[in-house]
Amino acid sequence: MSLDWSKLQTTPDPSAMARVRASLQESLQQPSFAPWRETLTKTALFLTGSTALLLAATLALGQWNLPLLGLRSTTLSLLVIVQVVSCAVLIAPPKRKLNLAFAAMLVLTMLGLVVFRYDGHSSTTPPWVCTLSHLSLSVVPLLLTRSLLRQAAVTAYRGIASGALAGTLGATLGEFLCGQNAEHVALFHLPAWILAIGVGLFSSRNLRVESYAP
Amino acid sequence: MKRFCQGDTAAFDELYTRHSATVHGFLTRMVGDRSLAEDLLQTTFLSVLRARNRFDPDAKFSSWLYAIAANAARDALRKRARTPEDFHPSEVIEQATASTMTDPSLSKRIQHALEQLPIAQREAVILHRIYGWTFEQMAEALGENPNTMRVRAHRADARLRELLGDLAEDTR
Repeated sequence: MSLDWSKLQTTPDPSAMARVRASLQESLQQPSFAPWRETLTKTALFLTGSTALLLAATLALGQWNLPLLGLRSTTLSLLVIVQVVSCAVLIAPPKRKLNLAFAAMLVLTMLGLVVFRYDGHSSTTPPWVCTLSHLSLSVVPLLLTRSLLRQAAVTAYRGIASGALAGTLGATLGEFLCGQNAEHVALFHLPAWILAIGVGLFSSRNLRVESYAP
Repeated sequence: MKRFCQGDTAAFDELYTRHSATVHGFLTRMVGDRSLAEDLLQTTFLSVLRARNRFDPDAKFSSWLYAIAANAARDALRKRARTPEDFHPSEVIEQATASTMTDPSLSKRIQHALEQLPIAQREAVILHRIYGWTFEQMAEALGENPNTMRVRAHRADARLRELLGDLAEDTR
């Protein structure tokens, strides 16, 4: 039996199509989302600016000192790059190479936070204080990223990027406000960041989006 | 699309006229439910409207449009899988199969077989078999590479051969 697959094309109901057209005509007045490049620039500047402001404030309060900036320059650079790349994955139209670069940068940065913590010391502060602080600093950025997630079709990479971005604030402050050793960073800083990523990913799955554009 | 992005709202109506019927057909075959397909058609074009600034002017509009439609269909199918009590397959297959085929029962049988495929394979076979898209066109629309689309279409064909039995000759 021969099958003409093209005959499986369905014929739409003209009145339904006209209804949809009329409804869309009414929606034409709705504003569109801002150009993604503009949103990306503003978001990246806002987040890196906020991080810089928090670092400056904690420096002014005597929580850390300037020589530490030299010691943490590598990890700080990695964190800034992750912040910017996470923004790009979250906001820009999807690109496979960008997604792969993001994944690589994220893993590299997490490893870097441990490997470059060779100057650490022990402390009497309970270790979970770092995890809790790190997580609580993720809350506001996670809420901000939800509105950005809704502007396009949700993908796993975008969900992960939203959590990664939210976690960079806590990770960055952890570099300057916590002087403990590499083991502490691996056991109490990284899990907080990974948890923020998990929250970003899982909460994105049931998000009601405003657009299914890629 | 370029004119629409520059503010020409009449251009949007032209895009709808040009593409709505085939997008509706794609959505109907994807979700197996005409009225849901109509809702998703509206959602698809609403997404075009809202996210027009995400469109790359150097890309093909139809690829972008079908990517949106596929995303909307996938999301609807996932939600339907979570609330199966709201879905009545016999009703929707009836609605979905009003095609140009002279044998409606055949159309119904094929639609039922399509419903058994995983979403990604269903997309591949609908675009490739029913709408005649190449693997490169599908890859561009769905953000995959052409080999992935080829593998999906091949697996879908194999599964359809199992399900459609006597119609198997046509899926080789």
